[in-house]
Amino acid sequence: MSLLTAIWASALAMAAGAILWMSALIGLRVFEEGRARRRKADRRTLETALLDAIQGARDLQPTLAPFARRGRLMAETLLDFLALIRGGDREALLAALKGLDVPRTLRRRLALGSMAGRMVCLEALAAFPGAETEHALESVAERGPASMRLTALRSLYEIRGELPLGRLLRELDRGRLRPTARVGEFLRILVAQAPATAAAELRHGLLPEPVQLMLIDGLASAGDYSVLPTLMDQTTAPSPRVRAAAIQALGGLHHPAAGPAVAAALRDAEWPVRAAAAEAAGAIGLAALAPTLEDMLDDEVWRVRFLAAAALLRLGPDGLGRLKGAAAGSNAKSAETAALALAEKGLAA
Amino acid sequence: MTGAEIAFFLTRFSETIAGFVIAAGLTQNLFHLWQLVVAAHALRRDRGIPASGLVWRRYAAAAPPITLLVPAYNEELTIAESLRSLMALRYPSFEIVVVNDGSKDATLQAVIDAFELQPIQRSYELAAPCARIRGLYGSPNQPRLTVVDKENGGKADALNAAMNLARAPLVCCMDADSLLESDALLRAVRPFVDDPQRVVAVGGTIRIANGCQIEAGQVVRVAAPRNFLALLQTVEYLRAFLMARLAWSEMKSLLIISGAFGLFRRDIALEVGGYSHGTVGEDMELVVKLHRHCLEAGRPYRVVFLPEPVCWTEAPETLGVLGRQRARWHRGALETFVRHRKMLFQPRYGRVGGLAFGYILLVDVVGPLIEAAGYILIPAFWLLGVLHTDFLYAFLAVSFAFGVVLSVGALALEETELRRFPDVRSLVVLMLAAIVENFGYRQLNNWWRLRGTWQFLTKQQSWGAMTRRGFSRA
Repeated sequence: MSLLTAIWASALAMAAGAILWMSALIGLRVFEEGRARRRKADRRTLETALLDAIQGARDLQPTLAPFARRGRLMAETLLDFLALIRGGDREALLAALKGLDVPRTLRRRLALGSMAGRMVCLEALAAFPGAETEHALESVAERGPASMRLTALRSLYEIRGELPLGRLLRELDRGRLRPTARVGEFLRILVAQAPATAAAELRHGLLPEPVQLMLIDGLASAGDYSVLPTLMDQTTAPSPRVRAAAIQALGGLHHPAAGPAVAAALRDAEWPVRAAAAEAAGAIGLAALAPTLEDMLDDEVWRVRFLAAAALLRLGPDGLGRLKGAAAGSNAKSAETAALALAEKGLAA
Repeated sequence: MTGAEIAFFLTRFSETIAGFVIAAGLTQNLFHLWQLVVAAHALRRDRGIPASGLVWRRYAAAAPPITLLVPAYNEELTIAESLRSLMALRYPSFEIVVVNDGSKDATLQAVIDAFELQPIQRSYELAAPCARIRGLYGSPNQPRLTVVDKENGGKADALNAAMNLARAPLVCCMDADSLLESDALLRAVRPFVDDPQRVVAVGGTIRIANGCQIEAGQVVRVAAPRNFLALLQTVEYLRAFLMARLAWSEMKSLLIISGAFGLFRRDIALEVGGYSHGTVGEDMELVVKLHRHCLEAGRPYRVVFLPEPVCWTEAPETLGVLGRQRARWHRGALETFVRHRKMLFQPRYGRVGGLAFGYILLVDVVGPLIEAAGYILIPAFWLLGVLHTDFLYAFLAVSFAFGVVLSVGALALEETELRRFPDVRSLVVLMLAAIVENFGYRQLNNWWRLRGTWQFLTKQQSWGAMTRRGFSRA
């Protein structure tokens, strides 16, 4: 074959391939349209049947049975329902589905099909406590793909009402889970259940920094004053991010014993720490720090100035007086910061 | 020099030029084919887009607050409706900062009247440069809405002003007439939730709303455009977003996040000085600055494209407007390339400097010049009798065939993984458009790129008039 023929042949082959590809897609769509219509109708039928189950209908077997083996459809519909119903309705619905062996279908689906389908089945399984479910979830948490582990652990937590904090921390430490914001949110729940364990882990200081930050955040929302000393220790950590997070957490706890740590942090060389300290001073109501906050109205960093002014506003008449004084003062930067903070709250300078 | 020597020289010269053109074209097409494979792999890996309710269930509690930055210039007729649509977005915590960028019409008054706003004061830092701010407006009844009235400074300037006023850790840059799907923010924020340490920017898919049914600022029925030009652009956008941007994102070298819809970490966007002035490609330039900043600082980072959060936009329906838009886009790419030319092939900039900048060099910088040379040389060689027309036709056929394969491939990705077009009819129309666009439209695009190159070389700065017809709202 000459070069010219080869070029023409490759051009024609590509064009023909593209046209065949297009035709196949159109054919597939015609077929799929029917499937999509059926899927939509199935979903509607399933929803109606689930509503009947809630209302105590007895013989749902013929209606629900065709869907009992369709894990993803069942899981998605079920999760929508469970977000809306509680108590007896919920129990009635789950009992009906257990009767159809739906949990088994969901468990089987954990290893089959698309990841999106597996994930939704993992979430739905949390509604069906039992040894087999826990075994399946444990198996995914231990050996499943990384993207499914967190969901498996959350479902286990929902079933058991608890999960050892240490387990999640080990998963993070070993890199089997990444420190995502979703993990952080879950960690917050676990820390609230075991603040002392979280504080001990933090004191050991062996965890990676992102995990330490998440633990500190969890301790702040746990609201347990017994962790105050641990958080205060962290305000002198070498990492400015850890120091800032610890100060922020102390602000979240609103305990006046944090005063010395916050006062020291107001003088920190790193602006994120100073900003967190200013915010914490206002949140705790540390009126003794008002003079320092007033000095910070001309900090070199805008965010520190802004948060110092906001803190003064929260400190009552003394803070307000200082702001008004600063607004009328000779330091241009402080005056501007104070005047704007007052104006933002609709107060005259 | 004898006649035979001249003929020999011309033949050799034409063969060299032809060889170069063929090699460049083949490299480009093979690279696009590779991008198609990479994009298909990514879509396959993340297939099965979860329903809106599931995304909320999984991500709402961990989603950080977002400030929507909405620059508005002469949007008097549509701004109130656009803002109402934005306020109805499904996202746990967001605020909207609208910037009236010195409009010549009554855009500001339209917003004030619609939302009963009053002048307010707000503390902010001029971290990113912007023109003088004349006033701020807000209302206790609309705590999520802040309006900035400022002197005209262009889109980049308006976005900088809004970024200065924003207080959320993430900012969403958009156009006033972009239509965001109600769950677009929640879908777009996922990389920030999944990888909060590294992700600095996320871009979503822009789709063409011409021909779709729109109600209350939302696309309620997707359809292929009835206007021929808009139809061709629909295929082009599918190729640009589902194939090219997704592949660039997978290759960790994404340089463009569309100005119509992009999420950025505010602190890092401000660290690089926000949007740059004096360029019409400010969206691309910001992303390149982010790459450069993070690479120079040795900081791990990611710039991500997601195919599922969708923003709808109105495509130009006339050749004049479209041509101006494309020339401007090309000029923007060249401006960014020249501003950051030091990154080209520098090892410290990794794939961004090598692959992505190399691509711009080949396709955007050299490409139009080769093409211009082709327009001149091919007829000249033909007249001189040194052109192998048989080979010319054969290579043209290969080039068209590649084009069809790539367009159909992008459409196949849309059809198999996302399937936004609801009926077979739309699909058939788009398939035909995927073939037709290779004959005329692509060549027109090349011509517009040449115009963009000329405008860049002659330092033209204007945006050109962008006449929009407006969405046909129900």
